Amino acid sequence: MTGRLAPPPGGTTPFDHCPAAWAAFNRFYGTLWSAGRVDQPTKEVARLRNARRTGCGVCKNLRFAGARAAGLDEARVDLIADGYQASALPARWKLAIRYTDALLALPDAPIDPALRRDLLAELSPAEVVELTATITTAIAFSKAAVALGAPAEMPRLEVPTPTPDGAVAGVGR
Amino acid sequence: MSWLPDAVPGDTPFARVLGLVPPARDTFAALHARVLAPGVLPPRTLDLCRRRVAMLLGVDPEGGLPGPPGAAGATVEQVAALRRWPTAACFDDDERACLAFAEQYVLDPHAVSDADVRALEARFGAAGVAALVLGVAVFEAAARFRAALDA
Repeated sequence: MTGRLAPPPGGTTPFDHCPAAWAAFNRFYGTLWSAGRVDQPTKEVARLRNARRTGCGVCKNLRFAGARAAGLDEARVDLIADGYQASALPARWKLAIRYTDALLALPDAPIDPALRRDLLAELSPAEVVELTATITTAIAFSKAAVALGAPAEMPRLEVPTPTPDGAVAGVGR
Repeated sequence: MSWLPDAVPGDTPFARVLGLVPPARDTFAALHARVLAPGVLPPRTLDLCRRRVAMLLGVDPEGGLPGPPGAAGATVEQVAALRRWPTAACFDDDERACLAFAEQYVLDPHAVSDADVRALEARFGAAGVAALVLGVAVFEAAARFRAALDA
C-alpha cells in the first residue's frame, strides 16, 4: 500500500524486508493492544486522533475490531474531530484525545500539570504508561506510512486488533 | 524524574517507568535490541539516528535503553559532533544520508519525497530502507514516551 518501497516477494509490507525486527514490533504493539489493562476503545480513540492529526491515509481509515465490538461505532468516531470537547463523547475518550494532542505537541510544550492530574485521576500509573506507549508508538509508526508514500485516502477497513503473534494490518502498507 | 507517582527498580528513569507494565517493557526491549542488531545497516549508523531522534525530542540520548554494545555504537567524536553532522568530518556519506532522513521523519514525514526514498534505496537497498524506517520509528516512539513522562 506504499508507493515508495515495495514489499519483498511474498511479503505484504515493506517491513517484511526485515522479518525479525517486524516480528519484534508486532509482539510489542500486539502486547499493548491485546494484553493490556486499558480498554481498547480508549486506545482506539487516541490512535484515530493521531491518524487524523498526522494525516496518515491508511491509519485513519483502519478500524480495530476490538474497539468496534466494545462500542466505538462510526457515529462516535466522527466526533474525534476539532470541537470534540463539546461533543457527546465520554469524558474518558475526550481525555485520550486531549492527551494525544499533547503528545503530538512534544517537545515544544510539556505535558501540563492539569493534564497530568486528570490522567492520574482516570488511570492508574501503569495504565498511563500503557496508554502513553500505545499512542507514542502509533504516532511514530503512522509517520512510517506517510514517509513510505501511503495514499491520502483509502476505503474504510475493519481489521483484527493487533495481537502479539500477528501482524498489524495497514502499518507501513 | 517522572511525574508518575509509582515506579519499579531499574537502571534508568525509562526502565523504572516502563517497568510498571512488564510485558511492554520486555517486548519493547527486545524490539529495540533487534533494530540495533547488526544487519543491513551498521549498528553505528542506527545508534547515530537513535541519538539524533532523542535530541530532536528533547531527551537525553543516554537516558533510555542502551545503544549497541562496546565499540559498535557511535564514537565519542561523533557523539560530540552530532549537532553538526552535515559538515563534521567524523560522519561518512551513508551516516549523513540516514541522519538526514531521521530528521525529516521526526520533523515532517510529509516532506519525504519519492526521490528521497529512491536515493536511499539506491544506497542501501530496499531492506536497508526498511531497517532505517523501522529503527527511526522505534527511536521516535521511545523518545516521545520519555519526553511525555519525564522518563
